[in-house]
Amino acid sequence: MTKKIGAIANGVNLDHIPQGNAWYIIKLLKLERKFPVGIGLNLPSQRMGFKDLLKIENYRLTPEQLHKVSVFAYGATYSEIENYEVVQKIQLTLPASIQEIIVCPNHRCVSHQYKSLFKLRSNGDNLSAQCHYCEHNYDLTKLTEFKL
Amino acid sequence: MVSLQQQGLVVLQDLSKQDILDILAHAKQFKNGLRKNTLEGKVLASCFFEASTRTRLSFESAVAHLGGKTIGFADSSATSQANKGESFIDTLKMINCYADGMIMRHPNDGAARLASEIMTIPVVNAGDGANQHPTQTLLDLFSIQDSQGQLEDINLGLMGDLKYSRTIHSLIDASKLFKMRLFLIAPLELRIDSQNLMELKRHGISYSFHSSADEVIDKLDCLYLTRLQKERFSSEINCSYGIDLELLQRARPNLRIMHPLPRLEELPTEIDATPYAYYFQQAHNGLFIRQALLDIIFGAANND
Repeated sequence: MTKKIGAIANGVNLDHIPQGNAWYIIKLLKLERKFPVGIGLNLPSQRMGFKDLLKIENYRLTPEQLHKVSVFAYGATYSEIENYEVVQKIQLTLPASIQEIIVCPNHRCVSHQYKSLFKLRSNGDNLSAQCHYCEHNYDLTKLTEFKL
Repeated sequence: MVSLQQQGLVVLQDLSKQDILDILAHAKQFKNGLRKNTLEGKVLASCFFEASTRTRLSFESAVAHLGGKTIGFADSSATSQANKGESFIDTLKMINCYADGMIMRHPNDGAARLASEIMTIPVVNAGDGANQHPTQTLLDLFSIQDSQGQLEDINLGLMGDLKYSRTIHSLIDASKLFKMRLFLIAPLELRIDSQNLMELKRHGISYSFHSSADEVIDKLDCLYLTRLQKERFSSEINCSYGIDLELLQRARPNLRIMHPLPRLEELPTEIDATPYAYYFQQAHNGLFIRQALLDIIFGAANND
């Protein structure tokens, strides 16, 4: 199925992105108007049921970008491609914390007057995000508002 | 308690059980007449971005009793933040220049945590939105201990808004440290939420649900009542929820009734004259707890 998006000569693949999260990554990396991007949405996956996939030509993610992307691409595989060969492969895991990206759903939270900071935890299938300031706990997969 | 002296007190969870017991023991010394001048020559900013009667007055009284001075405001309407659009962060940075510490009440959840990170002076949280009010919990624990002679194995009735009340949530949180037996008395709509309930189970706390105090009054050592915050729920809930003199006929002699105040009809004034009424002493205890806390935070240099 992955091959249908088309192999790229140089760039990066982000495979096994949780379904629905590819759009967040496109926005986060500001890819809309810059690089050739192959986008796969709702692709069948044995492991995940459905997954999203991104192939970005002539692109590399910095460690800082990878950290941010991992909030949406936990469990995904990041591969760097040179001349159609995979030269580096990284399994992305949920970062322990993330600044600014998540908008706290608690409207009374003081983070709206500053920068948000969330502690992220995975416990089996449960992914939780706890606001550093108001201490409210959320299911990460159910959050919908992000500063991208 | 190094972090207390550096950071101040932001949330109760920053304190260990021993820290809490030390603060309560120190408060008892103040209640017994200890006088200190720990804050002599010090200026504390008392910044109430949201109005409060008891908390502000007891904090400012505690500072005065310790020989210190306060600057600040009783509500945010007269600040540059309110009138000229100054940011909260800039306001904090400015206060940081003028005081040796800050006592802050703020309507936003997490404001005290943010302040403690922005400022270099210790910050004492006097209530941040619906999040935390650690000195209220300390004075509640002190009141239980002082009225019952112990904190462990207390039969504690919590009555009123168990779902939204910050005071109740903090007290439930603290009860885990002291293995109290909880009697949770609330209308169906205002029962404790599932997350807090799971926490109680996890800590092995015994609890039971009751729809009226009548069912359990003869078992209780302390009955902690809260005001029903009418703005938070539909009008169908019975707002005449409360206690009366008749109920207290079956109370244990050591029962003490507590309430964070302000009160409404749930706690009629006819109770005030009974030996069970403890809420005004509880408010008075707030002074001793705040003296003890401020002495520990700002007294280290003077005591060495």
